[in-house]
Amino acid sequence: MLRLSRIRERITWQVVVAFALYVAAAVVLAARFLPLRLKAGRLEGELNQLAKTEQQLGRLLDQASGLEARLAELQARLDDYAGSIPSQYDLQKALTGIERLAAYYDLSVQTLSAAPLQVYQDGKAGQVTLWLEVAGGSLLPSYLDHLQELVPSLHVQELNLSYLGEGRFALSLAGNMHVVLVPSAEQSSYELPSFGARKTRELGAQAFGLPFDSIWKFLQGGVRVLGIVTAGNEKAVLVQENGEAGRWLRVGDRLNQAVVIDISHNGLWLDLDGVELRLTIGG
Amino acid sequence: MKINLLPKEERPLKHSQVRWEFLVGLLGLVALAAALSFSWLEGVRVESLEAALRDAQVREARLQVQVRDVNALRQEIAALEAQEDLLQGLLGGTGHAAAALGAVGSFSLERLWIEEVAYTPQATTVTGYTRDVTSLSAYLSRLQALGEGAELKQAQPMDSSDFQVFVIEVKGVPRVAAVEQN
Repeated sequence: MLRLSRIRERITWQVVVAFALYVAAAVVLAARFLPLRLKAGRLEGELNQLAKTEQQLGRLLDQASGLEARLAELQARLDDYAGSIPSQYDLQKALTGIERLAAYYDLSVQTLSAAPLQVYQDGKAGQVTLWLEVAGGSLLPSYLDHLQELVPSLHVQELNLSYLGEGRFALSLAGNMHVVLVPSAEQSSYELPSFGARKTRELGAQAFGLPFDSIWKFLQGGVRVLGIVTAGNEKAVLVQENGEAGRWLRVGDRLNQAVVIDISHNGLWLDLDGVELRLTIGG
Repeated sequence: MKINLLPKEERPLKHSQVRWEFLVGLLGLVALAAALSFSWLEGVRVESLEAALRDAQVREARLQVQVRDVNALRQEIAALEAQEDLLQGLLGGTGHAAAALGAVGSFSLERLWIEEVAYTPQATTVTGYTRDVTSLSAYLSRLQALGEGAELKQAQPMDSSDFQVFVIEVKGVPRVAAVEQN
């Protein structure tokens, strides 16, 4: 009891004020400072996270200009393709172009036909089989070269070139012309390009000869020399062809595709478009 | 002689002495002031962090919109690339055939004649005839120099004549032609 009364005596108003100050400081720390501190930590964490996200997004956005350039480049290329690859509505236009180009190279089109359209690639594209036969001069490879620009989607399956004589050739081509399928004709932007200058890829006419069968015919007795007559400078040769009645020929005369280029005492020389043959009496 | 009868606690202090209650109270006051100051500073820091967070969220929202645009751009590019692949697959052309014809049919050799040239994407076949085996060898060498491989498939002497009929196959696209195409 004595101790308690002593303590009571010692609790003065100054001690109470001091105690209240400590309690107030503790309350401020616990109720204000610490929650703020925790909140600041959480906010800092969120800010760091946002900064990282921002960096990642920034890196993605850095690619935007490159992507835009790529898009523009792709669109330009697709426009080029669209202008050069025919659609299913452009078959007639392409065929007309093929014919006009042949005329541009002084070639005559013997055959130009197309099979019905076959659809593939899930209905996005199709193909039309084409058959083309042309005849003309040594610029046939130039024509084909130029055709590449006109119909770049024509895939050659088979092509045959043969010599007709006198610098003329025949070409037959079978190929598939691939087309893009568009919903309506208005959506096709295929345009025939202007022909521009002629290409200069030529065949060497000297390198070609008539089919060997035409030569073989002369060599296998199809043409026989029956006799030769010389009168002064004039020479004539009697020739029989395939058992028919004989014909008198002089230098420069034609015998089918051959031209008589010389007559000697026992035979004659023929020129079959660059191939020289000698036929002798009884030979 | 003066005798101080006041109890010790109530006696006036010397000038140099401080009462312990005062010191404890002062310390309490300092602690309270410190707690208040730190709390205020922390409050200011939180406010600035909140402002920064709001700014960052606005920026992120803006960036997300831009990223959506970029993603849309990517999808558009992917669609166009697929379209381009499709169109590229359609391209072929007659250029290779033209180059192959030009390559095999441009040589002119003595006493050798080409009768026919047949082209497929796999091989070019030259049929012809000659009166001179050395011309045939020379032609074959030239073709071999042009292509991936030129092979004499047939050389048949024709009876009772000096002619030989030949067939040469040039595999692939002649190299010159391929270079021209590229």
